Amino acid sequence: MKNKHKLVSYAKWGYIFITPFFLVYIIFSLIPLLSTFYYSFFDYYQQGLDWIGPNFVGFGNYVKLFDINSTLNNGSLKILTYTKNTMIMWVLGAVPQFIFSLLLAVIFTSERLRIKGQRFFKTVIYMPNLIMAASFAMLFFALFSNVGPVNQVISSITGEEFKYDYLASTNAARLLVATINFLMWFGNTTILLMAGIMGIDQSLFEAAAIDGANSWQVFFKVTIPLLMPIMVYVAITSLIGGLQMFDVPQILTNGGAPAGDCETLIIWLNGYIGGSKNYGIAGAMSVLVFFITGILSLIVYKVLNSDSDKPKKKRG
Amino acid sequence: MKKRILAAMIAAATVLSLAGCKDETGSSGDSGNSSSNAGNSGTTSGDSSGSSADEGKKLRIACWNYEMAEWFDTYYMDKIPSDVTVEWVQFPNADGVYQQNLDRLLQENEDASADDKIDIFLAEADYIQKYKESDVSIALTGIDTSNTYKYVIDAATDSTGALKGVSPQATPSGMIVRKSIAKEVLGTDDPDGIQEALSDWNKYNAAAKTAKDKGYLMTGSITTLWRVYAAGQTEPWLDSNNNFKPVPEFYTWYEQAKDFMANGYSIADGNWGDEVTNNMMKDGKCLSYIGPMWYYAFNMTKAFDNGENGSSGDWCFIQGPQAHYWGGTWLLGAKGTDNPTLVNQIMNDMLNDEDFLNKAADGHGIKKRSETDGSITNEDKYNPLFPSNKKVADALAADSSKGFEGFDGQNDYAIQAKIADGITWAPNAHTAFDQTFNEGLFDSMILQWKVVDGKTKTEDECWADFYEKLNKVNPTATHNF
Repeated sequence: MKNKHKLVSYAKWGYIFITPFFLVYIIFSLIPLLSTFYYSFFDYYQQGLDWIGPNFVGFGNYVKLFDINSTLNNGSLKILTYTKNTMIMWVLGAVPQFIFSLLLAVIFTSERLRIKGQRFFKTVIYMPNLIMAASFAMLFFALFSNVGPVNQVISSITGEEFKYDYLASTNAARLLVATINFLMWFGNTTILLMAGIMGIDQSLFEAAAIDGANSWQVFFKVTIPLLMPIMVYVAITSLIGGLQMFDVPQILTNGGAPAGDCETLIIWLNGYIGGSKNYGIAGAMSVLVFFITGILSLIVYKVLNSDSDKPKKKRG
Repeated sequence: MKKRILAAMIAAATVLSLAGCKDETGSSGDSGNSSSNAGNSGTTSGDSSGSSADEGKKLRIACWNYEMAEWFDTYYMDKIPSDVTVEWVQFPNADGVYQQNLDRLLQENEDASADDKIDIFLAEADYIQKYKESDVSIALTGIDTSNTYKYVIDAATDSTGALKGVSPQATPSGMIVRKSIAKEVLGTDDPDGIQEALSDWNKYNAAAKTAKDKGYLMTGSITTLWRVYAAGQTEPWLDSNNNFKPVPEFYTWYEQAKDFMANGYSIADGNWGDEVTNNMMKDGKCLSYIGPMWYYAFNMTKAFDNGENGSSGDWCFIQGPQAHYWGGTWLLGAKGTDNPTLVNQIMNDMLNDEDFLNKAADGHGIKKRSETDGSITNEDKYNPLFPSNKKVADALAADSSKGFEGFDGQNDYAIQAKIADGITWAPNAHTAFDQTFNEGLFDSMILQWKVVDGKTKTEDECWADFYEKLNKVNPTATHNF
């Protein structure tokens, strides 16, 4: 009887302790999310200084987004263009990031190597993640301006004046965005993968060694398959973060220059919020980004084919 | 122990970051610090004797840069009652950020607390239409406009005839010509001779060819060239059905732009491109730039202040083929202001306080404000204006002691006074979205000449690029023509 009473009391406190999270989640995440869905079915914007709407238009905003001749698309489906831009920059940053992080994670966790000063290196590689993306972008903007230090260093090494305008080239600008994201997130990924590897039973590695497996075999036959759940998690969170890429390209390329090739889905969406506070169209775009994210995450999940934890938000 | 130190540090960081949310004047929910586009604000107090008892003690002015604030700081604060604090609330002009924030502030203005109310806001020629036709601005009464250039008043008069704004400056724009290059290309470096050689568009286009043949560029950016035509616009970009149709002047510009770019008479970049600015320097190849006084005071400082590497003194100012204006800053009274008497006094003084206008026109020794936080620095800065008051302008024009050293002592007021007389403001040629047309459209059009990774956009892609900009600010606009 006494025990039961205690149990109920603990449960009550449990609920009280998690209440703040749910309150914050409902107010700052759930309600905005639902209202985004809601307003995506309305005409609701500012014309000059006057508010128009909200007037219910059903799927009107979605039709505009997919009607190639609407005044929003003008002959080419913008949502495809910007999804493409976003995915290119994400892949450029994420693929090297996975490979590099996996390599570092394996090296740091190797029983054979027993790297000294692990804590130091772990701290150092995680450092860039503590810097704000905006500061990172500003730093690169200054470094790679056509009169910036990078060009000056190249000039002084070669002895000839080198004046390459990195941010005026689509490829260079996209590569810079990807590099910043790589630098910011590889530490985080490394730590996650290390945790994954350390979670693998050490006796499996020993068993493999006794059976005569070489390092490659251990890596591909033991580490990788057992690391899959964490890999899926890392891939999906990075994808979600990648699709929401905004601050780095916005600041580095001033909203997508050159010629809009670095304009991401969210920069595009932001233009509609900024220009006419068009909550209808921007809402519809957000809903589409939501579904694109969902579909792509499902694909990643199916391809890597594993039962992992549910993804949490992470950028990369 | 370690944990305790860490906990203390985290707590301290939290408290400090919360303290950072509070703005320097202590008002909560300050416009400048909320939302994604953080603005800056800087305050100063007046010197004159006390204000009328029933008015607010804080005068808040919304602005996009500190040009006006610097004139106020240096020459006008003694006329503000000593118990009134002036606060400048700044948001950047680029990409419409200023307007987005201003719109929100003005719409909330009547309900805002006394110290959070915007009393005066600044508007540029490209969007004064939007604010003067709206009831967010108040009609000004009892303002003496008899000495003011007519176009300055017309620009701020709404369709019912009410005066909604004033400006201490007029912005007659002309051509800033590099004399050493003019000597080679036009055969003369005398301002009158240069004006004669560039007095109409045929001569101007012919000179462009000669300049090219001799290895020079005719003008910095062809998007700037649009400003000359824009001032002569008589029809609006949007018709009454919210349909976009290029104005006739656009096609004149477009033909010239195509010719200029095909022949390499100009740089394929917008008004503020690096290459455009670099060609103002010692080894620059550009014969002429287009702009009013603010253009050369702000945008050519690199050329004027750089000694050996610059080109100070090698320039002169002429009218060029067509009288025009570019830009201009008007002060409008915000509905809901709690300082109506003071606002009215300022408005009248901006047009008629000859002492203020003369000093601001001179522009030397102006206290510079920091561009990052808006605080007043110890540095001096050259920030002149061409006065909107015709009497003051004519006196400056006639004063032989006046002369700008960047122009080798030429009296720039004299030429600009002549240009200002010829400027008209067509009342029906403006829309609330003119910034998108005058900047956005032309930045889109030059993409067909701007080479990115060896490629340029097609004409259709340029139009599509512009239509997207238009759709963002004006979702229902169509474009059938």
